[in-house]
Order: sequence, then C-alpha cells, then structure tokens
Amino acid sequence: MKKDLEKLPKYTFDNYADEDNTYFFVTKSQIEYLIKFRQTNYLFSTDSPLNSLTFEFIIEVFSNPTGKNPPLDSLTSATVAAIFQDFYQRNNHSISVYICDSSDSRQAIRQRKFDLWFNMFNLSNGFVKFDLAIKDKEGIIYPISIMFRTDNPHRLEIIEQFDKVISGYSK
Amino acid sequence: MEAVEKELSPEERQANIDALIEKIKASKKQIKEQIEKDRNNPEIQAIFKRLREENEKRFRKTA
Repeated sequence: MKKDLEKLPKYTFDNYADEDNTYFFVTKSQIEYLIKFRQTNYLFSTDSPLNSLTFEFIIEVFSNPTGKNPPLDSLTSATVAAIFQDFYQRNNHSISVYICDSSDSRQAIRQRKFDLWFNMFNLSNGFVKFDLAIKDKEGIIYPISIMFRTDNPHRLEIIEQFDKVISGYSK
Repeated sequence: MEAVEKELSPEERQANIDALIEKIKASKKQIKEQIEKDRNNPEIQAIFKRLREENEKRFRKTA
C-alpha cells in the first residue's frame, strides 16, 4: 500500500555538509543510522556529463546498542524516504546508485526490501528507478539500481548509458 | 560521418563488467574506511548526541 510521506511520523534527521552529503538520525531504540550520497565516478565515463551528477546511496547502521538486528520500524522507513527527498530538493538533477552489499550473499533479500521501500513511499510518483544486475566470473550477481527524478533533463541519456555499462559495452 | 560503435565479444564485455565490479568493491572499501573516520569525528559524535537527547525527550513524552 502506498503511503503519503508528508503525513507520516518520522525521526528528526540532520545533515552534515561534507563531500559525502551525510545525513543522520537515531531511532527510538537508540540505533544510529547514517545515510550518504557519495559522489562516484565508476559508473559513467569520466568525460560524460552524467559522471559529476552520480551519487552512491548508502544506508549504514552506525551504532546499535541493542545487540540485535534493528527491529522493523515504520518511522525508520519513512525517515529514509524523507532524507532521499531532501537530497533531491537540493540536487534535483542527481542520479542515485544503490548497490546491495553482496559480501554475505544476502543481496537479493536486500534488493527486495529496497524495492518495497521505494514503492511504499510513493517515491515512484516523482522518481524513476531502473534495476539491472551484473554477474562476475564466479556467477555472483550484483543487483544495481539507479534512481533519478522524472523531470531529469538527461533521463534518456542516463537510461542508454546505464544499459551500456551494465551490458559490458562501456568501460 | 557518424561513429559506429564497435561490437564487443562476450569475453571483452565480461572483462568490462569485471572491471566495473572491481571499481564497485574499491568504492565499498573506501566507504567503510570513511565511516570508520566518521566514528572518530567529534562533530558527528555531537550530532548523534543531540539527536539521541531529542529522541529521549520525544519518546519519553509519548510513552
């Protein structure tokens, strides 16, 4: 079910104006989260105008005093969505890249959770998300999503370039 | 004259994908290192302290 983000309760978040565009919030269980939009240059060629607009979207548990897996918490999901929107209010032509951690082979589960989160908060209303995957020589799959605003003037070029890179047609 | 894109062999394409995966892994490593630096950053520690205190007040009130 889609939810209206504006009306949902959220945690207070703060932004640190560093080069990684870092955001912070703390849950009621005192779990500290850090979110970064880190400029990245590995996806598009360095001479592409898309390169300087591309940021890796990172969600990290910074501190967890509970010693348990972070519990399901609707405020956390809404806060992450609000941070995403806040970043795009400041950087409306940006392209976000989300790559699930594959070091423990749980990347497919993370990707499903991420899809659910993206759709739940109606981000698909103002944003486009493309999901593709690459496979290494050992057969390990790396799901990669890119997201940008529907009104991004580079949208056709982004899709074309992303498809080329993921298909191995571009270095 | 328009440039014609070179058709790559499956091996060449896989080599490009493997190079991309290596760049992704290098980036993930750099991110982890930056987060470790963030842990020792007094400004970030102060932000989290303030957010924790605000939360304590907010959820104590609503408990």
